[in-house]
Amino acid sequence: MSVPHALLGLLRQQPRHGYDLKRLVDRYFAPDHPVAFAQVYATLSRLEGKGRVRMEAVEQAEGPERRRYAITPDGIDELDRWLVQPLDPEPHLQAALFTKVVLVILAGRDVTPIVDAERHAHLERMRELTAVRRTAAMPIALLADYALFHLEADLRWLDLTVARVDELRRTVLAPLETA
Amino acid sequence: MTTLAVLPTPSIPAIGAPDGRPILAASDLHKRFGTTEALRGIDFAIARGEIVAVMGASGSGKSTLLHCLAGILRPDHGTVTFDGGRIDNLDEGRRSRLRRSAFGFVFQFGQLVPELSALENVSLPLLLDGVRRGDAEDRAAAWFPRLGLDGLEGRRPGDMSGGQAQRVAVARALVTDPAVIFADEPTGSLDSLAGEQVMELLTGAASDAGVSVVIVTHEPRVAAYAHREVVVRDGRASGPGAA
Amino acid sequence: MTRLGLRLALAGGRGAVVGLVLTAVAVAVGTAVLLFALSFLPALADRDARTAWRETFLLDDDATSSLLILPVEDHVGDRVLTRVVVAPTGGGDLALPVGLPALPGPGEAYVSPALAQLLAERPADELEPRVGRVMGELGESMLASPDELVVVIGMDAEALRADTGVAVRAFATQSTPLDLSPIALLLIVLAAAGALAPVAVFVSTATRMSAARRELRLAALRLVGATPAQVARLAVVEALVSTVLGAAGGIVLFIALRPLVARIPLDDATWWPAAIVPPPGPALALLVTVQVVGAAGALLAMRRLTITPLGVQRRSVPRPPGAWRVLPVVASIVALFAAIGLYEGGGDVPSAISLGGAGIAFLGVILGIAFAGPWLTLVVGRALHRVARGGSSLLAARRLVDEPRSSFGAIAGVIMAVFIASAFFTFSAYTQTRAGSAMDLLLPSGGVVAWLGGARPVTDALTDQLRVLPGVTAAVPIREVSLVRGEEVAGSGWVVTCADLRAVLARGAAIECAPKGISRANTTATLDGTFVMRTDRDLVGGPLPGIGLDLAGGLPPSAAQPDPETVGFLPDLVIDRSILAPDALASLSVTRVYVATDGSAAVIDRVRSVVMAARPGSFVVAQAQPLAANHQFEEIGRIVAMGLVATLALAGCSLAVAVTTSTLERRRQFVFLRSAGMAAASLRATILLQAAVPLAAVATLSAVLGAVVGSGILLVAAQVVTVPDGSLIGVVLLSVAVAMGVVLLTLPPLERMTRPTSLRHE
Repeated sequence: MSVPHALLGLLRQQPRHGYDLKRLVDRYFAPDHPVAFAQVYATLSRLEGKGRVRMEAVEQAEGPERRRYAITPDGIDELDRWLVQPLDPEPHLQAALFTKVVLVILAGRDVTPIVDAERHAHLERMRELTAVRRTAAMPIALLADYALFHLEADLRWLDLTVARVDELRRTVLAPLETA
Repeated sequence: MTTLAVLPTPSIPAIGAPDGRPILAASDLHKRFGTTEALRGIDFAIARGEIVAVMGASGSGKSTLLHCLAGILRPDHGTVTFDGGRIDNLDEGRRSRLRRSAFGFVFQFGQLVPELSALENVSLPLLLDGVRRGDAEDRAAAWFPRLGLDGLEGRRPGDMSGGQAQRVAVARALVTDPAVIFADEPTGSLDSLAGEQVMELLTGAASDAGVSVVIVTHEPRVAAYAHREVVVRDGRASGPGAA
Repeated sequence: MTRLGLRLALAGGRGAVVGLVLTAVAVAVGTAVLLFALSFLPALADRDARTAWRETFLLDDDATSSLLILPVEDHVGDRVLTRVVVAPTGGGDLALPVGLPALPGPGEAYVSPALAQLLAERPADELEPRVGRVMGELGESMLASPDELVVVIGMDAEALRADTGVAVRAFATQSTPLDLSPIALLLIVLAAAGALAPVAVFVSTATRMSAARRELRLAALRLVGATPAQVARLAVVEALVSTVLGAAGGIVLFIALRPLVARIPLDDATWWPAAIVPPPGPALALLVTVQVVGAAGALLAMRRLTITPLGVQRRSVPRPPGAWRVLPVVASIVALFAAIGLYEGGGDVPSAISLGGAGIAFLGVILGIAFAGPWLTLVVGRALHRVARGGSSLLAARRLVDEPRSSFGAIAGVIMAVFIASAFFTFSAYTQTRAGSAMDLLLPSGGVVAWLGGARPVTDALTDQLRVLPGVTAAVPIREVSLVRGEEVAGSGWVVTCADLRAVLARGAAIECAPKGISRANTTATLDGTFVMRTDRDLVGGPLPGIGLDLAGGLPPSAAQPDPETVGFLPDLVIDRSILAPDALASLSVTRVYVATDGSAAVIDRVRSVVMAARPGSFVVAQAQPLAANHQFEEIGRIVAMGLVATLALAGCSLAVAVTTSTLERRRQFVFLRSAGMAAASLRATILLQAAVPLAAVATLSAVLGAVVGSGILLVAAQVVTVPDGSLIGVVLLSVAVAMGVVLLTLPPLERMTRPTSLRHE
């Protein structure tokens, strides 16, 4: 999972408090391994430093002070660039891919081109690996097989995700409206 | 990620490069079955010697595309040209002849005639095209060593493994020296190893012979044997690999 | 469980229902055929009872008898007209048969309804003079069949007695059984046995059609916990559904077809539909047997399979059929000849047993052919595989080798039809050659001969009357005489105008008319001396005065050798009437008239009318008219031919079902092959070859076997050696052509169902 892009994607929806961001990141992207508050705030300040988010307001009600962040035009550009650019096809991409898909949905965009681009990139790599497998010595070929199977698993998962994208969109969008 | 780091990245493509001229092309194909629109304006082209994977979910229309390209189905609208001539408007008899002489087919399973020996199965397309039995069986026999089928000439399909049967099917598709081979989920009923063998032999032999191959598959590892992939979604070509 | 079985049988999808219906239809056809077979003897008995009043008459010279009766067979066109001439003698008690309103007086007549209708339709001069004044109609109880032509004619007792000399006390009430020739009876037994075989083939083919699906269904039941016994019970229930429906359908079919079957003539008469009724006991037994056989068949089929929860396993891979399969045929043929030999030999064995044995052995031959068929198919398939050049022949050959049983099953019905046809045509070829030696040998085409008989003298007036009828070209009166010396009859002669006779007879050239007026006709007899010529007299009456004939010095030798075929048909001498004085000629009675006509039915009927009106007891034969013995074979031939058509139709249905089933079993392959460019013509060729090659080969063999059995039976039964003629080849060709026609009919749907485009609809 790419925490900075996840935060950008959530802020693209609407300005949010740091606490809400942590809560939403946990909910959508890392239900098993909640991110630390510190990581969220550290990432936000790094993003702020790069001019991709800005602090919109500081609210002091009961309890600790709450900062509200909003995305900047630079932040939107970075997010879009990341979304359309295929990830480097390599095994164990699921988390990053998943983050991307959810963010695309959050951004209200069509998932298909993103997935097609990912598939294309994956297949390009798989073609290379297939060629390697054909010519290389056995240990290398076995490694190539290993990589091929994992890439294939990613693609299968992507296909399944695309097939279930409507369902996903409903569950991803629903709590935002109530939040 | 470390696994990838040790692997070299060869210059692509590694297998026989297409020469760029399209041997088979389709434009704006529409096909409807009852109320279902299987194809909604799809374009497709494949060059001589090129291997193209057609991917897509079940019901996406990828098999219908293959059937239209191969002249098995006639599209409701749009054109299919083979070697510069239109084939979508030919009558069934001429399309049959074309399929028999210029195309080869590999299906998922069950395509071999159980009563015939492997050799007879491979020579069958030649026999159906009027080649004399002796000549047909000689030409068929030549494919057996190339596909790792030595000694299986007399076996019946029922006495062969799935992989062997599919390789016999590949031999049968190649025996007429076709210009295009259509493979519909050729490894669909095989385990990984047998599937890899079939794909190696199919794409390898096709490349050697300069034959174009259209592979319909939903398996990325199979699609990876192609030069490029076309994704069919809702009856349209989609994605960067589309022609 | 039973209800579940019923529901499954009926809800098993379209294929299952089609299979069930086909099976039921086949059972229905078989049941109906057997019901008709059971009805045959009762119907014959009924007919005998109805015709008893005229079939039997008691000869009695007692002058006090109450009635004289003379039945005469006459013809109208080619239909038989039974004329029963009656004359009350005034004495005794007249017990009229039920259905005869009153005894007709002289010149009066009672006619059957069919004859009444014919009288209204035909020109008056063809029929009416023979009948007389119609007083009323005869009742059903006096008629063999609804369309029988019968007339009861009244006549003066003295005239009738003088004509014929018959006498009878009363109408008979006891019947003589129908005189079926032994070979004819044998044919009927064999035909009944043969008719059932194709039904059995059809049942098995129709069952096979839904077998795969039924087996899957039963396996699914095993998966959810049904025991093997329960599954067997379900299979029986399913089988019973078709046999119960089939038996019911058989009864319906029997009733529906009865009016049509009643129109099939035997012994010149059709049947009263109401008389075609099977005896209740055997009929019930038959209906029960059908159910038992159906259930047993289902259990037997189950025994060959193990239906496990995971599907159906064949107990064992069937081994290719071996050459020993021909043994039952050979054994059955031997048994058949033995049974026929027993029957013909008479001896201690009752004919019912030997004939029944023959029927069973004949059935055994048919079943033996069915048993040997798969091996023959295998052999043919191997041969075809060796010579196969193209893809279609290769596909067909391999299928034959791999599936000889089902491949033969498809054609088995046709093969049996061919066998039966071939055996029968061998018989009929024999009966046809025998038919030539009949009494009409002297008649040319269109010729008519009237035997006048009787004691009342007949003059040339009758001949003159005939001669002026339109369409009659000649009428030659013949006075038949015996040449008597002392009390010894030394020879025979015809007093006639010799040249006229030569012109009117078919073999008239055999007579050389001598200038002296007395010619040798067809004899080498030595007649020397003086004789007395006397009119030949039938039955009663004293000798008429004779006329002397001087043959002193003998006859000139004849140059021509006697024609062996006409010996006995011609007299020793032909005596030209010109050498007799007119009064001498008048003292001899005309006994026979040869009439030459243009051959039209109307003219022949007019000739009959004139003759019958003059002499009601005459017997008239026309050249076109079939003769009794020959006729019976012709009728039986027609019945067998109808049976063959039915058999062939049933066999055709079996073939169509089997071809469809076997092609659809391999539908996937054919769809793939056609996708890969197999031409529709190649598909057609494959299907056709698969049926045609074994059909042609086995049908030929079967025809030869039929001929062997047929001629073998004749050899044993009648010591006749027959050589089958070309009609045998005709039968084979026709049957194969019909079968191929049926296969052709299945091609368009099969072609549609194996279209490459049907791939996606799998």
